[in-house]
Amino acid sequence: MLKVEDLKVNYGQINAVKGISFEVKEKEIVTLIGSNGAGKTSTLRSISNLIWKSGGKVTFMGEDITKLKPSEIVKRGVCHVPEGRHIFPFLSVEENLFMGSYANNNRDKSNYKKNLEEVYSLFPVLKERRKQMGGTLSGGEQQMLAIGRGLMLEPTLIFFDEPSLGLAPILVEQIFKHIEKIREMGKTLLLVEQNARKALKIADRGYVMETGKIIFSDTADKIAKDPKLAKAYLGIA
Amino acid sequence: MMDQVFSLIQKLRAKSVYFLVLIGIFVLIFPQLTDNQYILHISIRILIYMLLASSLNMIVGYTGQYNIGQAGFYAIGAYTAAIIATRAGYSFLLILPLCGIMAASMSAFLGFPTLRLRGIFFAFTTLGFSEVVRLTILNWRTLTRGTFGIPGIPLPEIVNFQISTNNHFYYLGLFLLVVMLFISHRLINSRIGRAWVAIREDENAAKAMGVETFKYKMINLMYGTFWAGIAGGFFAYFAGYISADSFILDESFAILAMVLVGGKGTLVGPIVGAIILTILPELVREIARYRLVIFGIAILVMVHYRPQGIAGAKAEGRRIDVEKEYEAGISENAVETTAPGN
Repeated sequence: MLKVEDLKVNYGQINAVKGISFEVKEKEIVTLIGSNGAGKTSTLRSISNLIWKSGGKVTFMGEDITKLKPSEIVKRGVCHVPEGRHIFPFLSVEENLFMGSYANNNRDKSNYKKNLEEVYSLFPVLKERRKQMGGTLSGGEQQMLAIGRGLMLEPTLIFFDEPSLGLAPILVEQIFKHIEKIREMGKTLLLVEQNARKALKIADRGYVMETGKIIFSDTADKIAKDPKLAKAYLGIA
Repeated sequence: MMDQVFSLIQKLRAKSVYFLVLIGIFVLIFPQLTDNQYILHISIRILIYMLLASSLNMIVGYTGQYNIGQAGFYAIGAYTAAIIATRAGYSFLLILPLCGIMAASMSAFLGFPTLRLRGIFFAFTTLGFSEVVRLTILNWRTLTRGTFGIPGIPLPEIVNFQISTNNHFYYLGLFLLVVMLFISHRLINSRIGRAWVAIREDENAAKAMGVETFKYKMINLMYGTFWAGIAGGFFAYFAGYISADSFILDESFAILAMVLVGGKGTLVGPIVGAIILTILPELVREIARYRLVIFGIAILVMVHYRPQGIAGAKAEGRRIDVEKEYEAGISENAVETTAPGN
């Protein structure tokens, strides 16, 4: 479904991503794990063209999307739930969700209502707070809002960038439960996480990144047991 | 004292329909109530400032682009009207839209390289731009007569009806303002307006939602400056004589102050701001030369007591609303809210 070949991202002199290749197949959860500064977020942001790629090729559903504008990529059903949530703080929950449907191709009133109900049934707390401003929600609720906003696009592929960032363990648990539910809705997910254990538990396959490179990849349960994982995270042999 | 004033405003907002109708009637019959030409003159100036502040509010209040050189676009509109009207003598109905188009296309030239800049950097370029416009006016003598200004701008004529008295100008200005507010209201609640607000709230997130941020920022800048150009054209016809002195930086700051004091991001805000900040220096003529000082103090007071501006009660009103809803919500969905990790 999504194929990334030799992707490179530079910030000035710094090579954040040094030519990585990976693939996401339909209805899979693929996770990209690694410690801080491994280049995970840069990878996602460059695929969505929110930052410049310095090289490489990205194909989505057989179409070359390497040089498309971000809005064009979103229109093709690739949704990016950004790191740090980035909800619209002074818009109400419902207005936030409305913005999520902005680039939805088959967006009309009934379809919008249907998607809204779907998001509300997944996150009842959002329905309760639909008139409340996004910025007044708690961290966990904001993350749910960010995910719900992404779903309003009716995406086929969703990028989750650190959904557990800054959340209490019990909320992290909840968010991951929701991510699994979203997979059951037939979506394909690319999950970037620092919380490797949690990510590997729900993922099918995983790629481990270290300083801009993919150092190894395997099925999720094999990675979880692999001693190389500990090395990537803790720097011990 | 401040609190009482605000709570009064709040109460009036609650009965907003009657309030609006009353204001509407008052505004419509206002010129019939007085023969005092000074008061009429001031009210037309207020109308011009309302138009200018509203136009700037579209940019500052809805996409959060800090344009602090609105006087530059105002000047472009005014000089477009003055030059064409005195030299070519085209009709008013043709020239006025042209003023807006001229200002908007200039803003496109400015926006194309600079809209990628954010925050303070964009603000600086607009500031510089308005100075460049003023200096160009002063030095391009063959076109603008430099420091002499352009006198003798003919009175506008609409299908054989000559706009000549202050009363006429008042209604013309009012008409322009109503049209501007109506179109803006429709725009804000359209797809374009949603994109603008999303950009204001979080530009990166807007991009991730599929909003073409550059395109919409450009539309926004051009729309806002279009109306500044219209205001300039109207001013040129009203004053009959224009010179570069009318478009100094102080004007830009005054317009921005009106937006901030009145409340940015609401349609009413700049209107309230324009009324207050035009009347205030007039009331005390002796201190009128300290106009900018008054504006500065007004902004400081607002920032301290009411950062959203006088009319910007939206956020607060909402919070009250939500509390009620939230209480209702708790009783309905108590199980879901109190059971984490279900």
